[in-house]
Amino acid sequence: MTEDTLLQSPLTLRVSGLCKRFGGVQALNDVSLDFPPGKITAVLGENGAGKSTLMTIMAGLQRPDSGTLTVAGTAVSGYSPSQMLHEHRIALVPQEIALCRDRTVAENVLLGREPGVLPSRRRMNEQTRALLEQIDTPIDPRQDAGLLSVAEQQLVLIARALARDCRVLILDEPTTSLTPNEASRLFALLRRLRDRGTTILYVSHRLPEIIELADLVHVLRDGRHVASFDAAEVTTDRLISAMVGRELAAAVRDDGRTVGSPLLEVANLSAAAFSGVSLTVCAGEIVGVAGLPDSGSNALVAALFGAVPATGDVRLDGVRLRVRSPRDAMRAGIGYVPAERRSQALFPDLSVNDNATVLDVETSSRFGLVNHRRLRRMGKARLAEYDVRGSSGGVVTGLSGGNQQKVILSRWLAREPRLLLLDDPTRGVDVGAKSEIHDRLVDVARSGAAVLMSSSDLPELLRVCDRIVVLSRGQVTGAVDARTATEQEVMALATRSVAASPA
Amino acid sequence: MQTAVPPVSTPPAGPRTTRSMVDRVIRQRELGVILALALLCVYGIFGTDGFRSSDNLLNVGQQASLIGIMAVGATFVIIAGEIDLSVGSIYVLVSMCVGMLLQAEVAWPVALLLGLVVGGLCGLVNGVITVGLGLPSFIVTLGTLSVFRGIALLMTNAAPISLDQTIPNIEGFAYLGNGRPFGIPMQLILMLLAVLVGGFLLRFTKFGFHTYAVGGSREAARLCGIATARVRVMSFVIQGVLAGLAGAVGLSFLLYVQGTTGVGLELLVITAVIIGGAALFGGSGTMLGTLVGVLLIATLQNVLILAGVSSFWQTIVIGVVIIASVALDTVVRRRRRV
Repeated sequence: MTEDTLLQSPLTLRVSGLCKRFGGVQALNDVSLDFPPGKITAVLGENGAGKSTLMTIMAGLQRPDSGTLTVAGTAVSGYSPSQMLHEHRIALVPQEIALCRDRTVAENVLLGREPGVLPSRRRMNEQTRALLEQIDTPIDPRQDAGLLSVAEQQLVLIARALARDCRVLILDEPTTSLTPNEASRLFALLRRLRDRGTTILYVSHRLPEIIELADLVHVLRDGRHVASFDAAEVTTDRLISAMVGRELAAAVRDDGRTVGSPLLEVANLSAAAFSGVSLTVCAGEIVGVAGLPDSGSNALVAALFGAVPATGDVRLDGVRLRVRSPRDAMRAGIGYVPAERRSQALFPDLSVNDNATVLDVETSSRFGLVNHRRLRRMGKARLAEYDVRGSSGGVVTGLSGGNQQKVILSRWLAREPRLLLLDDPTRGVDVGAKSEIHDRLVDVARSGAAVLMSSSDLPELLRVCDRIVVLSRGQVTGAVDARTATEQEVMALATRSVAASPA
Repeated sequence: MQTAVPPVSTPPAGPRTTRSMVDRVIRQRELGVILALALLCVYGIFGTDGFRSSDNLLNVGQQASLIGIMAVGATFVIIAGEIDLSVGSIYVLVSMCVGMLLQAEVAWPVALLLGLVVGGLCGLVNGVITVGLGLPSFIVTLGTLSVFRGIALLMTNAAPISLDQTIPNIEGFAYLGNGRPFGIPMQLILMLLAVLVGGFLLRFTKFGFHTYAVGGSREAARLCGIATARVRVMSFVIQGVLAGLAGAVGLSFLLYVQGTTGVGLELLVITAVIIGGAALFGGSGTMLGTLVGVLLIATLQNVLILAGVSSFWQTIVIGVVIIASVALDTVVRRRRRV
């Protein structure tokens, strides 16, 4: 305790009645939480539960609509990053770390706190070395920050927080891009800081590490605080139940589909984000790929379309495919609806009609001349069939998210693909369009094609798919029958660390 | 099962159709520039002497021609989401090449054709470096802007080329820049031809459609199986050929070219395309817009001269017009998005 010069007084951090609304979404709804000093408090929740909103408010990046944040008994009045940092000594280590890559470690650590008017490089390096020593990090302060690994960059940010005598440290999904070794070293450091009295907020959706690391767990769901647990006594299952909440009624499905013989066979497929993935999708089958955002599930779907380079054995109808680009995949009869609608699927400057028929330009051309009349006719028919509201000649960005997605789906379904790949097909789509899209997918499968979709929306996968393959950190951790599986089962597989599981 | 739903995309008859037509007219990007050009012409006609004489109008057309020919190429490049700063250097390089070939008594159609090939190769270099190495075309063409002019200077040892009347059939070549079939400057005819062919390519061909798609969203285009690299390289080649054509026509007009010819042309070319309503970051723009943009600049210069405004002021006015036209477009678009 005597060596502790960083923390003079214990600090209680408390939010009460916090509300924040974004458009139609209530991101935080009357949230009141305590973050006791000298404890590691985890904030847990699914995507969209309100974790990030809470964090950005505490870091001063956003202002709540109502409610207060109290630091050591005083209510915070001004929300700005510099006020939070300098006045209240709250520091955030964000998921996407932004260091000045071309500056040295010392310049980054002491950024904005350079000693004196003309800071001497030697003094800065010494100060930084001392700070880094406190957290047992042997990084050369003179090195360029851009050369550091992600783990080291995190440590630099923690050193930066120490340089400002921060009493609260917020970490957002810090282990996302760390190796297990780096993660356990980070945990050891966090425990040491906690024992010195630092209040630590740890945001994650990885259950095992939360149980391992945290003292206290707050669970958020749909913007509300639903439960708090003492981490020493809680089990993964209880956390999952709290996170997921509702018990989903098993959907009745009787859509007259027959599942045929294997159509897509993937063996030992590897790419940057996943490795050794094997799976089979049969004709007439809808298979889901579930996983946390960093699990590689979206990359898997993109790789099968040739949008992401990958190696391995992929067969369609028994024939080995060599898919090196989206063009190859399309030639083989594969369609792909990407996740990022705005940047990956829409042509914002083209009309609704052009967006619906962009894939038919090739077949509607003769000697390089496009038959625009034919495309217009095709487009109109398609938009009517998919019930897209809005003028067909209008700008596509004027449509609602659901209508945009229907335009994109219509574009691919008109080609009658043998294999349809989808990545988060209903993200940002209203409920009505969502169920229409689901119906379409069932129709596609019924016609004898194979459908493989990844989604961050677990209930969606359970409702639409026949089977769900679960990925965790780039490896398949299991597959479940979507008819009988529960969200808890899938989440347990998605948060299982591969190293611990018996291969 | 969806058959019961009326197709909403076909608008019901009556007032809504009229409104959507008005909408469509307002949405036309070219409208603002056309209005500005019209206003300028009205001022020219009533506010100055000599603007409306057919000689003067044809002069305006001729002055617009060289910029116009190059701007047709730049329209492709800019719609594809790229930029080509090297056009002025391609212009002088091709001028020099054609001039040397003519001095070597190569038949002028052959010399012209070889000149266009040189221009196309310059474009190919720009495109292949940009696409192949994944560099921003701004940087690549900033480099070739210097390289191409350097080559032109090396070739001629920085000496100007002057074509004299002793070269056989030089009148045939000179007709490109000075001829007046039916009283219309040949240069103007060539520009209109370029605009028509370019507009046709852009509007009615697969390549044109793909150019808009690639410029609008390269990633989406890639994921739709469009050969994005080919489209981008092709746009540079078209630009190179047209910059070369302009260079050849320019040489034909003056029968003289020197090392500093065509310096700064890229700014006027890009200005014309942007004033014509193309988005600097690609995805939108039309050939009609470019034509109007080119005419607007030429008319503006002409009217300012006729009104006796000093040439220094002209430079300032053109700068203001660039900013004003893009600002107007941005404001209108922002409103439309909401």
